[in-house]
Amino acid sequence: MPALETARTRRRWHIVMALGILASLATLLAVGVGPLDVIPLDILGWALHLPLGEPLSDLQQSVIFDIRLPRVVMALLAGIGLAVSGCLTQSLFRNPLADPGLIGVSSGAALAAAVTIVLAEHLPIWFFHLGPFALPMAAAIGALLATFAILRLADLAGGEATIVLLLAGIGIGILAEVGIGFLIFISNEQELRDLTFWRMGSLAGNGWAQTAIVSIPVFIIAIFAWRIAPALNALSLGDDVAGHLGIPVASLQRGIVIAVAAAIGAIVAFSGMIGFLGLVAPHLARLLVGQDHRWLVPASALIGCVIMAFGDLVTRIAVAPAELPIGLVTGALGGPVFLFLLVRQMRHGTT
Amino acid sequence: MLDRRTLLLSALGAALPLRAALAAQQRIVCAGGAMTECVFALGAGNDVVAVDTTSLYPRAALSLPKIGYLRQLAVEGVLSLSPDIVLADRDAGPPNVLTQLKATGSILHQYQGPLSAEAVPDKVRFVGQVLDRAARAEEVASAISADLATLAQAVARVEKRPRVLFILGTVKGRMAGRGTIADLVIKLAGGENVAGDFDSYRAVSVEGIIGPQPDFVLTMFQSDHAPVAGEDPAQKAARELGLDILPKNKRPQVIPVDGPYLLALGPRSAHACYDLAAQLHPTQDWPGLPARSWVG
Repeated sequence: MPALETARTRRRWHIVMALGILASLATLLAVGVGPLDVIPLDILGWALHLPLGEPLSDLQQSVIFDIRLPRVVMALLAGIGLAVSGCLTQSLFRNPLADPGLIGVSSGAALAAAVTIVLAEHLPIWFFHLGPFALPMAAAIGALLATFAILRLADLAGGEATIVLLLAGIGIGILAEVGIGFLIFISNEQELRDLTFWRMGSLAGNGWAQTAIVSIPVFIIAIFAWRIAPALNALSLGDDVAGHLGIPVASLQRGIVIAVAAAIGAIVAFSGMIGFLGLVAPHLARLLVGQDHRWLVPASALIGCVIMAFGDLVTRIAVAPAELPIGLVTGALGGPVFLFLLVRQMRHGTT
Repeated sequence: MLDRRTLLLSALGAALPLRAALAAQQRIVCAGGAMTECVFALGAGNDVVAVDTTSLYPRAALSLPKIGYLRQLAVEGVLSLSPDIVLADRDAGPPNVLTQLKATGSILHQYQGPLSAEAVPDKVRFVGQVLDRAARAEEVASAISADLATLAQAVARVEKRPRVLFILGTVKGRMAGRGTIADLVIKLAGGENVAGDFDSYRAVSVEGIIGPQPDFVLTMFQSDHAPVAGEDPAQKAARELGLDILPKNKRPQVIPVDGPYLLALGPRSAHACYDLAAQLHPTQDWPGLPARSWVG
């Protein structure tokens, strides 16, 4: 049915393009609006070196370029990274409820961050010469350790059957939760509040250096996911079928786990825990473009961008001059949209 | 509509002769209850444009815009207030936001002193230096030092140091151990912290409270919480802690304390500790500290 197939492709192109436009608009809005009053036209004139609007003051320039822009870029990177990680995890486990948190990576990062916050005075002093990078470093190390533990457990169990990966991840997650619970138990009031806020996520304080670091694993996972999209389509038919189709299932699984760990580790490290996005973005994408990963991956990434750019904007202006945790906002934005689309899909019975 | 810029320019022209007088006018943002109290104590309260959520005194601070929790500051939010001075207490954060604030000019001034009673007058002097009100700061600081000395003398007369527990939050309480501000103020007020065998805070059960046989249990309330009519806060706290299972004469006395007043380590600390001392040693004579403009 070539005609039908073409119509479907055209429809998908339209959806992806619409998402792209929406993401660009959200990004422009996020850069243009904030608690510090700057007229968007002035920003445009300054950015393009065109005689548009008024010249920006030094304070405005430094707020736009050194504070707002890097955190919006960080928001986009986190959106792409979380959405694509969610997409890959759901394909890996062939379970739409899977979330990067499920394979224990976020828990490992969270435990390491909790250790850094609560046991600060017992850690070696050189660690704090890292300054603002101490917490992110710890979180990234935690994510990697958790991943290696999971892969090692899967190896011990012989092969990397998806179910073993899943159960190992859940086990590691439980252990990490116990560790965090104990740290909460011995923490003081301030550490407790630090931990609570950290677990709700925050893009605050991220400059260009942090953004540059996060961009590396995010680009890697985005390109990786794009390249293995056809293999993911095969994988959705089951490990055995994919194997018969000539897909190296075991190494594919291992690659996915490592790529997800690197991306989530870096994102969690610099932005704390941003919940729901990894679960919701791929779902939204699936409702819009269907199951084909060649469309699913880019659509998820764009949806991640839209939610995070809007989310960041809301965190900054909703309670200005204070700031909301980003995890709350992504959940509040993503949840209702997700439920709406779900109900609509069930009513129409289409994908 | 009148062009905003023309309006601004003409206003500026009219104000030019006044510029010298206005030069002292600064825009101050405070992060930390003690910082806010210091600024108001030095008479610069009118220059404060925003405070954090731990700044609950004086009342004028309650109606100011809030920059969020002390340790969760938002850099653009703070900058959008175009402050000349950002005063931060030692606990302010997160570190990367402070770094960004430092990078946008020399507006951030963070107090770095130790956690002790001696630090209180120091804090006032620090704020005085930043605000260019050193003379006034010296007055306030020496008055506080004198009050602390009076307190120490009065407490030295105490013969029996009552056993005291400080509990943070009553429903799932956590008691204050060594190295906490609560531990410090209990000592200053002539009490003995019976939870002094561990660091920082620890979760506590009814047994954990009754076991060490404290004479007093201090619980905290926030000074901006209006008391509920017809309810005795001490009785409510005792009930929530589960102390009402004990016979009346065996129960430790519960004293609800105003958290920001007692624990801010700010200009009011001497008076707060003195008030607490009077409650811990009811049989002794407490003539009171001299009235100060920054307390009450």
